[in-house]
Amino acid sequence: MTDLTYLPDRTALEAAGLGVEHRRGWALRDCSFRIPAGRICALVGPNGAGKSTLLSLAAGLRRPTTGALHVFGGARPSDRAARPRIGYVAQDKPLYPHLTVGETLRVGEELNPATWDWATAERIVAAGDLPPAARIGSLSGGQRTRVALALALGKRPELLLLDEPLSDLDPLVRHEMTAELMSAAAEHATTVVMASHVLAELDGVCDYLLLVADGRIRLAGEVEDLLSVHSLVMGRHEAEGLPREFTGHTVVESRVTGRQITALLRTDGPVAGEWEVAEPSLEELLLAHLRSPDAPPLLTPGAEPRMNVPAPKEAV
Amino acid sequence: MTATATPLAAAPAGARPRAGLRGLPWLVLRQHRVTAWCAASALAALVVGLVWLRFGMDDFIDSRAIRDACITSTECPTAQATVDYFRRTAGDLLHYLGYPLMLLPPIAGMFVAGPVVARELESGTYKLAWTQSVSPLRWFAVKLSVPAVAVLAGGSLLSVAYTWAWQAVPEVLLPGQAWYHSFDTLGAAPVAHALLGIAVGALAGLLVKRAVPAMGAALVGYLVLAGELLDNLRAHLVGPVTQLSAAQPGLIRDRTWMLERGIVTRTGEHIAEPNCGVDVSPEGCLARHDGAGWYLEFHPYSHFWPLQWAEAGVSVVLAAVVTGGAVWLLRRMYR
Repeated sequence: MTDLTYLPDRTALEAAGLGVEHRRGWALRDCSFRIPAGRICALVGPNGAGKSTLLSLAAGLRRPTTGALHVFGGARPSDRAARPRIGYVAQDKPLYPHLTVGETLRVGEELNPATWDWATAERIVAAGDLPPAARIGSLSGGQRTRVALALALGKRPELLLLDEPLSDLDPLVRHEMTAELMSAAAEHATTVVMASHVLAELDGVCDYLLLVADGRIRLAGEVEDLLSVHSLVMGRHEAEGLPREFTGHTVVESRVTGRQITALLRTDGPVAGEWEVAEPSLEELLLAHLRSPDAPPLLTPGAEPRMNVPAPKEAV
Repeated sequence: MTATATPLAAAPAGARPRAGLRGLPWLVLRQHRVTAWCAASALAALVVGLVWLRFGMDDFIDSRAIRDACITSTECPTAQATVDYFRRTAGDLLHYLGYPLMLLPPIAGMFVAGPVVARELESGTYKLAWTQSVSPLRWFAVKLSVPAVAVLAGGSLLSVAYTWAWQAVPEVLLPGQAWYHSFDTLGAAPVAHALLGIAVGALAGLLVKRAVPAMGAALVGYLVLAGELLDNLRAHLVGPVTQLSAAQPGLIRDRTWMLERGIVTRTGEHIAEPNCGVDVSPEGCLARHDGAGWYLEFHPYSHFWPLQWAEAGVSVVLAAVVTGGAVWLLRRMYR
């Protein structure tokens, strides 16, 4: 990260009391978080956790049932001024199947006359050897993903929302596209929010984390901060129940294998006793939280929303 | 096809010189390029056909001197064969050439409901437009404006051509295609109906959100509005003429849309087409119902254009109301 892209005081996306009700219940419930500008944020959660709903709210495709979601420190995503500054790639990568690749890029130009960046869009398309005259309908899933990303990046958004962007790419192309994305994001100080349940997609790429499960925010904040307040503790399992030394810390998850106990603790000071203590990896942190839905949510100070929280409108 | 291919390989970054439509209208037209070409070709063919038919009919009527022909064969047996021939050929052709105008409103409605609106909602491509800096409201407005402008321009041209061809024929030659029979294909009515069809289609597309069912909904919706409401309203949009007479009036009168005949009783009550039984003379019938005389309600030909504009006005107002409902729905759903 360069200094240019690190803007802790500016907010790209924040929500307070956010809720979305579907016909079959709440997709999101009472979500509050903040993503500072310039971050590469991983939006993680199991299938059906509300990731796509959250991203489509941020893209201005739907509106919340309760609470509010703001972009760029105060605008609604559907505001006339905000819409051109947000890029979005939906999970199913909708494109017009009868248009050619070249025509699809022209759609980007026609609909974003002020900001359209032909060079970026064409570079991404050209890297995949896509002939401009090829019809979208004749492309493979991975190729369509490439065109959809070219459209989103050619718009030069300040906030780029990607819903499972790389899931249908092969590992080699995924690696290459990730590098492409990151360099484009770094070049223009773009904030990226990337939903995924492929944890390998995210490690080493993201510096911010939003963990959603069951429509609620479970973890939010800098990846580094989140990792540093957690400890992976291993030792001998002596008696039934949790070891006494764990009291005072929040136990996210603990597992016993034979006489060995492994626990992920949200530590408050050092853990007393004879324990092997290590900082968890991102994957370990995420898996532990996903396996333990009862662990209390954690927002680092930077991830607390700074907007005025609107009075909760309780749905009947 | 049109020159929309982009020279991608050697093109540098930055704005490119473009001619013609830009922005969202370009996209809408590009999406429906094939439909636009088919519609334009059909329009051209129909207009050429109508012009050719008008000159042919003029020529035939004048050269055979049947302009003042009679309605039944007993009145003038000599010209009857010629008149029959005219009705069979030119008359039928004129009749069939009116179908495209009559079908334009429901077809326009189904087109807007399915391919224009619901297909985007169904396939998710609306997300693409809405996240490429186009607000849902503007997207919807342009989606409707492009077909509306096309219908206004193309439909008007076709209607003018049809009305012009139709005017060549005296009513006695084609009694089945009098102005009140062909009302839906003449003047402003078909264009205004088509605008109503587009509005109904837009609402159906937004409500149903799936292309094929939305087309069905648009068709049903339009048929209910036009068939039930407009058709029943038509005769009352302009006050009909009521004539009183002592003797029973005849129902055959040139260029006149007969609405109702009946008896005026001594108390001033109107009894429409009183049932007097078989073999009762009109006088006997009058006496049986204690009638003072007969009345006849009708629209003379001079009411043709006032009725046309009144119906067009009602259609356009209805279209505006339906469009308003669709916009309200869109805002409620997506903002």
